[in-house]
Amino acid sequence: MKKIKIFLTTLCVFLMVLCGVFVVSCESNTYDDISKKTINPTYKADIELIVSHNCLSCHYGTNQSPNLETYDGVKNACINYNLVCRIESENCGERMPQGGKLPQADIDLIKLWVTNGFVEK
Amino acid sequence: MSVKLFLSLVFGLSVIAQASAQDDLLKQLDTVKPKEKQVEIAAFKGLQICNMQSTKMTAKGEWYVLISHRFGDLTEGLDNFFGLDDAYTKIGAIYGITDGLSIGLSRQTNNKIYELTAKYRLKSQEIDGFPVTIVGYNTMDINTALSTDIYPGLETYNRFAYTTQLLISRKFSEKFSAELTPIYIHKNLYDQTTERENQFAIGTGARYKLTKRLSVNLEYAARIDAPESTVYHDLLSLGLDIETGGHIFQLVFSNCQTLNDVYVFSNATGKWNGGSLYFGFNLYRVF
Repeated sequence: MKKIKIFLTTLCVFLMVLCGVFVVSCESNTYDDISKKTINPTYKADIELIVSHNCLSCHYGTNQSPNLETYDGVKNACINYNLVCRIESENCGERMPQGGKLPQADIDLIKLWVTNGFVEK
Repeated sequence: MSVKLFLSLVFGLSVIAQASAQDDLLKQLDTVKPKEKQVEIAAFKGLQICNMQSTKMTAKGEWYVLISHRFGDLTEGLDNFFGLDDAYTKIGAIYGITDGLSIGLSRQTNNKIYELTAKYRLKSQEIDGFPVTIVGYNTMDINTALSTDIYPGLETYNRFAYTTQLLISRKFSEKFSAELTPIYIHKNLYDQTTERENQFAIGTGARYKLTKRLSVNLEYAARIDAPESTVYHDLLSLGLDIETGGHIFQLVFSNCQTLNDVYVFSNATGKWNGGSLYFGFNLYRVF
């Protein structure tokens, strides 16, 4: 009985590993590989998406200041709330977003957008 | 007369034969008994130490429902009410296929990650026998928050990340147990400035039983050869187990807020000396 159990367990594990190998792949990419490459990022085309995916679960309405739901809100946060410093380092307080650093590719895009003068469209 | 004698002879012989057969059976029992070593049970009360897995397994046919919570940064103080404003939640279930094999599925808030897990016991600690319990543990993350709108080159496999862990524990006494865990983490998508595609780590954990229903837990996991420019820290957590009937309630203080193993061991954002700290709990309910 015990031997059968051990055998079944081993078989289950083996099958799972086998399925795993076929179903999933271990090929890797960096965020740089799969990011959008642009020299003129705009709020509408690039920044809004990054902000809505990473910031709006907290920074909406009056829930958490600054509000990042609009173009003006994000621009204001960059100028008055150290947005770039908060996502890039821990020099201005807890790094944002909580949970982990944004991929460098996204940070670079936001910095480029700031340098280019907050292009909206 | 001769019939009587014959019958009594037969009776007498059969009694002797039976008695000797019993002796044989007893002898067999005597020889078998010392060979079977008793398994040392309950090195850990909970399935987790704090964030790390312990060597405890679900029993066959048992369902565990798991609810974990990690509140936001404690050190921000009243601004976010000691973290209660920005909580992460993980909800999941674990099922014991056999006593030595269980599978689980859970989902956590951060990055909308689904985590598939398999836990299998390879060897149990025995009283006066094998010194440790060895359990294998695998996780697979599926990150469903990634979007092709932001990352046009995103492939399905980029959403996956894995850990493979070997949990080795020893119950040293009724009160004290410890665990050592080599961990291998593989990410199909990573930021080369702060992370590695393949990361090794060594985890250690311990439990000390205070009373019948209360124990204090400690865990630490060090990454081996983490990138120099990394912004993440090694995991360090302190926990308290409270056992109440069918519940196991674990209070946790940790420098990691996320709840999936890949991030726990390689992407802890907080720091005990002068960084962010997170408070939370794991709640297990057995069905």
